[in-house]
Amino acid sequence: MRVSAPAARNAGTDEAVLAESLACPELFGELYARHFADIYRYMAARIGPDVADDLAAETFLAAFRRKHTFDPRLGAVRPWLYGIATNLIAGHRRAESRRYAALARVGIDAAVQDDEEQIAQRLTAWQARRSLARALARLPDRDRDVLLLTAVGELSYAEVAFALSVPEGTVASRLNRARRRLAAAFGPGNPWKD
Amino acid sequence: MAGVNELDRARQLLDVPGPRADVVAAGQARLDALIAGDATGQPAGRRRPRAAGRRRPGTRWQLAAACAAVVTAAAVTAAALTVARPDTGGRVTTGHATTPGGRPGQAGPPALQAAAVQAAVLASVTAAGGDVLYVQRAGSPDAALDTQEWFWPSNPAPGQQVRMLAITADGLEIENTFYATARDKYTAGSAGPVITGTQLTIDPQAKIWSIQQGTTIRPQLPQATSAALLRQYIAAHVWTVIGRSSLAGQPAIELGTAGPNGLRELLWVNARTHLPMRQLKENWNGPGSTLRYDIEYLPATPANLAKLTPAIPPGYKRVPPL
Repeated sequence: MRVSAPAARNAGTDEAVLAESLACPELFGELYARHFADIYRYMAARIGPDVADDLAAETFLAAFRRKHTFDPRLGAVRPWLYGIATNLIAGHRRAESRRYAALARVGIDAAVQDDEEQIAQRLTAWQARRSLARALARLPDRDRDVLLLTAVGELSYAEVAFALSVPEGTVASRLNRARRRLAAAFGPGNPWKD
Repeated sequence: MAGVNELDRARQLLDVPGPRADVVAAGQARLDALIAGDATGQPAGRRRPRAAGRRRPGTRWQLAAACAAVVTAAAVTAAALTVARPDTGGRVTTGHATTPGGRPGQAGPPALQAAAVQAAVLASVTAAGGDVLYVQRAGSPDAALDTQEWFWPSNPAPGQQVRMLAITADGLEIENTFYATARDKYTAGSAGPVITGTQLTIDPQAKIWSIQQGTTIRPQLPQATSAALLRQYIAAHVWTVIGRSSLAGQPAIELGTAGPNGLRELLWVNARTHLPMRQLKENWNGPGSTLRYDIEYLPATPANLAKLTPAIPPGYKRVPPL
């Protein structure tokens, strides 16, 4: 029987779990447990929680269906999942546009202090978020994909390249262009700059 | 190239809360169904139980049992490895809490602190200051208290023109237009300061209307709709977070406080935007009496602003100020 040493396998890498899931489909649930929250937050940041509620799960359904196509020699499971998520987002550009419009209108998260200074700081953050949302809405889709996989997904150049199936040099140039455009959009009063 | 800080700031600005437990569970259920279909070789939802006589022992059954053991062990290990990432304020972001039974469970929402929720509500109300505020009030057993009110802007600055429309239980439409004099004082209720403005009144029962310039206006709104009054309101009570719930299809956080003579006040805020959704006063005017405010913040679109302007139906007679 192939499953001979579960105790050694259960703490294995994502790639090992995925490989085992080819024979033991139930194991794929472990990847869901490990990565669903991060994938959800990446998608919710782009398309809003309402759409992400459904689409984040769809990412794992798609990944499960495509598990035989994953090649560990090319990259890791995590960026592979982000790539699938990004492809799904591409089918929901209108939701993404609505998300940025909503961010421009509302955008105050929980604060831990209740004083005027804290409120003012959060309002400043809200203004920055509004500028960010507008700038993101104006970016070309492919540049935005690279930027947000890097910023929100926290993927490396190589991981983004694997996720999007593009060369690393392309990732670098797109990211550089996106960042320059965002910086220009904020102007000299760029609230991002510390 | 732009500053190295930009990506971090973008991450902060776009940060959203993790998935709710029910979202995690729903996704897990969909995946389980798909996996089950894969394990049996049939699409999920189309499987039929095999007849006992047709079941044949085979490697797939043995493998399923073995896989279950692996899943159990893996889940327990994942629980041990679950960590909170520092830059997310302690939210669990890698892995989920798991049950000893081996099935991955759901990451619970972060613990809610009343002070944090209150601060978030205040900040959101302030930030939504340019929105149209819509409040529907419902009294029980006194339905005469039922009103609808539109207010714009919801949190005006001093000197800013304010428009307000109220429709009473008997259909009376009252439009007030005035300039905010001191921040938030215009919402101070019947005992509040006198505000001078214009009042248009339409009485559909008598088919009359009137307009009065320079009249006294005392708009009364629930505390939850004013940043300053909300601050006072919250500060004057000891609030507790009752928990999370759902209201009008939106995730909500429910706050509560108790007062004398059985008075109980409840406040629901949107868990995502932190804007107030409902304020409920129980036993406010004797046992069993309730006063409920359903609150919406609407974008100041032309369509929503048009709701602030009542139309005088043809044939109505203008009369001296009512």
